[in-house]
Amino acid sequence: MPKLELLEYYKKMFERNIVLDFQGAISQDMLVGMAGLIRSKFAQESCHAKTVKRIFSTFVEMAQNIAHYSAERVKLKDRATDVGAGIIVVTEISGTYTITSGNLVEKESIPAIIEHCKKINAMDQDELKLFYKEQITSERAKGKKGGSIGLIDIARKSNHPIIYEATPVGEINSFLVLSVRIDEEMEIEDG
Amino acid sequence: MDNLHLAKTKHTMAINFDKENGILEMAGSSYPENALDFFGPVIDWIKNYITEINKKIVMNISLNYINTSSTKCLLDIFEILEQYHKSSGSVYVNWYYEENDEDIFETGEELGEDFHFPIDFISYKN
Repeated sequence: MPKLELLEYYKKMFERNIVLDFQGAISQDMLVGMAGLIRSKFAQESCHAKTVKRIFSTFVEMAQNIAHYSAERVKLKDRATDVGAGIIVVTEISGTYTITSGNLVEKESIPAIIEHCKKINAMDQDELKLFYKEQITSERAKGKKGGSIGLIDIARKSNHPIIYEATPVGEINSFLVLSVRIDEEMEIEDG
Repeated sequence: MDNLHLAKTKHTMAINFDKENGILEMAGSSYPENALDFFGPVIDWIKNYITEINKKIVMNISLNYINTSSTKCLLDIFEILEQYHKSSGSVYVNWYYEENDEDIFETGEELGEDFHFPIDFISYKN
């Protein structure tokens, strides 16, 4: 009889405080279900309402990025269009929530994404606000779907740099990891 | 033209646009798979109302959560309202936000700051 490795897996998830770990095609139904699960779980565990909303919001933007832009496309039987696949992990360690996404991206798109992250990471909240407004009023004209605005919004809600890492996988693609940290809301806010 | 009613779902807002009194209500969360698909008919309705009915518009927006692609569509709607306002149409926007929900309040404030029609911010307790 093959050994069931669930106890090991359980221990790993427990040690790393993994709240949610999903790998696969992210259909809209799946996304709505997972977002709802996250909201319920953190609301029940007495997180600050603002923190719950920010985790929810960041999760939705990151999961939609995978669904729209992952180079790994999956055709689901009840749909005309394919959806993106990847991995999304939510962890919680003593009041710090981390949402990490991983998905395939064509190598040629990687430099622009990394440049975008670097630009965002170098900005303070006021600069991010201006950048957001500039992008939201101009981006559609350039024929993009909006992934770069998503990252600005994520950075505005996080107050921490976006951590990024791209690892080449085969000839065409790299595996892009983006990680965002959200701290539990304190009583005093610096605005 | 008909009134526009779309039932609320987990990821799309309830839409209730009434051509008789010009009250346009949008309430709930918005993070559909494709925001343009969802907001297309909503935007068309507003354009038709302006052309065919050409009366006062009172837009009541009460958001729980809005993603970035939906925010962009809302900005498109505000641009249409701005044009109508400039051509002396009556436009009033009431932006409802849950008390202490700074993110939704700020989204409204930022969206509204480049426009000239009146926007009232109204907090409510859940």
